[in-house]
Amino acid sequence: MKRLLLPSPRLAGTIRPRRWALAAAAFAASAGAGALWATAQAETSARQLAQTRSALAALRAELAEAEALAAALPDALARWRRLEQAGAFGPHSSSRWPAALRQTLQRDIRAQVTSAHFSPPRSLGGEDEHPVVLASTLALELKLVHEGHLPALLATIDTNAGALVRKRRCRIERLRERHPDARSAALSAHCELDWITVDAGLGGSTR
Amino acid sequence: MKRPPVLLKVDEIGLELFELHPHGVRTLASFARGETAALTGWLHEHPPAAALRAVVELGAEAFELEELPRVRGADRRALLARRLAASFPDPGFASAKVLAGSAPSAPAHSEHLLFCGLSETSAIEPWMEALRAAGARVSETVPASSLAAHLGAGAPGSGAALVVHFSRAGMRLTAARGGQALFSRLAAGFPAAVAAADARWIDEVALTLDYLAGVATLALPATLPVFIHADADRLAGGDALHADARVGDRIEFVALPTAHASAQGDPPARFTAAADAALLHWLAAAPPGLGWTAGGADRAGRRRRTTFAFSAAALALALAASASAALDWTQARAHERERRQLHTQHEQLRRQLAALATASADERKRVRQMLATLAALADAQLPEISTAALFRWLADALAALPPNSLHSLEWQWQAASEPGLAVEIGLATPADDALAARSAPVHGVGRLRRDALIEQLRAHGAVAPRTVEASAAALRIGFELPLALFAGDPR
Repeated sequence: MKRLLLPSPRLAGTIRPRRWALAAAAFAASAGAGALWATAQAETSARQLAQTRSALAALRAELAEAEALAAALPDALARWRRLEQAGAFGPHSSSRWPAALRQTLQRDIRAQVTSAHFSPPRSLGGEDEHPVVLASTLALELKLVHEGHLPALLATIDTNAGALVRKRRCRIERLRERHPDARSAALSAHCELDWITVDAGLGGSTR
Repeated sequence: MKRPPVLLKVDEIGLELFELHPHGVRTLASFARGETAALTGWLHEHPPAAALRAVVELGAEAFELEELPRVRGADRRALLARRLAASFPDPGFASAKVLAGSAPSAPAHSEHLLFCGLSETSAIEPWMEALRAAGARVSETVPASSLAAHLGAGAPGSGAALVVHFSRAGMRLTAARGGQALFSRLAAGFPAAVAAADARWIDEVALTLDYLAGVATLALPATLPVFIHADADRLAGGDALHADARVGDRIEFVALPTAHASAQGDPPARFTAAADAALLHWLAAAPPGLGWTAGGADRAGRRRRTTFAFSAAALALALAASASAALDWTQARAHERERRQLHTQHEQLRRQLAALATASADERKRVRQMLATLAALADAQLPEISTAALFRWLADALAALPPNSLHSLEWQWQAASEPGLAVEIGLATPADDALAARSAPVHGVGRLRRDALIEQLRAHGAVAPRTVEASAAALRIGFELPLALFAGDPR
């Protein structure tokens, strides 16, 4: 004899007539889970794509700037070296003449510096925290025997200034009162010179 | 603690109430036919905590098979209601069920329906009335034939069979297929107690098998297996039944699994109690909807419609979800393709950047600083016009002037639209040139000399030579000297 085993026939009887509905519900649940997963995948991929686009745009901008700077670099280096040669780099010490220049001017009998006054330094620009370009204006009062002595004196200043010197203006005028001695001054001159220095964080270190 | 379920059994003898425990069945009360008032009184004293389930073991159960046109909706409900009302006095104790498959001769667009129910309800109606009067709710009223077909015919899907079970009311033989009773009869002459002593119950089995074999509409197999729910040694002739030529080759005894806690008396009495207990366990295990309800087929139809609607909705939802998933998946793939393309571009640009002298951020910063400094020194980077060069130019341009005519010279660097010098020369008016100082014609001569000087300056490249001051005391001429005029001059 056999003992018939009908595990939970009540449950089986409840499930059997509804098996297709349950299968449809299970299919719907699976499809819903799949839809949720696919939505998450789409959102993730969209986010990753946006990140990639953003990174690419940033890199394009970086490359464009780098290319522009690379194109400007050779000319900039050439100009920079010219400034180095012209003595533009150094500390701005407009409070005193360089000692060598003062001594040279004192020994020059052709021109007499009667007055030399430096204005307070002013900034000519440059990027923040970077080479500071300073300029002071030197106002020179001179007595000259001959106008031809002025270029020589200005050239001496150029050579020994320890700065970049730009002549802004000069005025020469014949003196009304003149000592009959031919060696005495016949002319007065007033010159204004820009005393320019670049206090370099870059200094002269260029590639 | 949860109370055990209370079960009812209604048969020709009367009504019994049982309590189903894990260790067996306990009889709560027993009422003979007609003792409806006693039942009502008992229920008032022992109100059930939950709805009751009832098994009906009556002989007046009819089964009718019929092919009817396949209709839907209200037409179907009306058709079934008319048919049940025509065959059964109380459609509440009848049902219509759709059987799978149709007879070969059945017309197209028809369905095979089984109408079954009580052809006579006088044995049960009074009990139901008493229960209603006592306020007891009966959730299921299940014919014993349905229990036997659903739970006693072997494993689900095992095919047609004849199920035989015993009770105090008799021996029920039920032809079942697919869990559905196709035919059932109660042999009242062979209750459990009689079958324990009289082996002629076997004849009823053979008789029923012969009858079923002759009913073509049932389409039962010739050798229908027989499941006898009883211990073989409790039935008269049970041990030798396998040798019976009529039924011996298809008999299978199924041990009664349950015990009756209240069983007392001799073996036939205990067999009766065990058989009743097994029937009650079938009742407890029966799924909802197995019993009678009004318009059974219609209810089944409503259930099918509801199930269909639910399935259709679930399928539509699944399709929509699948479509959405497919769309999202396609979009995700497209995003991924584009991302890979962009990544390739990114790598190419990185290589281009790495090849530049200004690849690093630090180097670009240095170059920017350099350019900013150079911009600040833009003016200072222009070549100067040396003082000596200026003097040489003046000497050439003013060669026609008498010596010491130049009284003053002023020049100023200008780096505007065209770099160069703004120059102003002051010429001495001769002190002894009285004619020029006093007479108008001399003024004309002075102007001529001034104009000649201006032309001379212009001829040497001076730009916009003009009279700044012309008076008896002074003559000043102003002009510009462009940087280009001194291009070959060393600074």
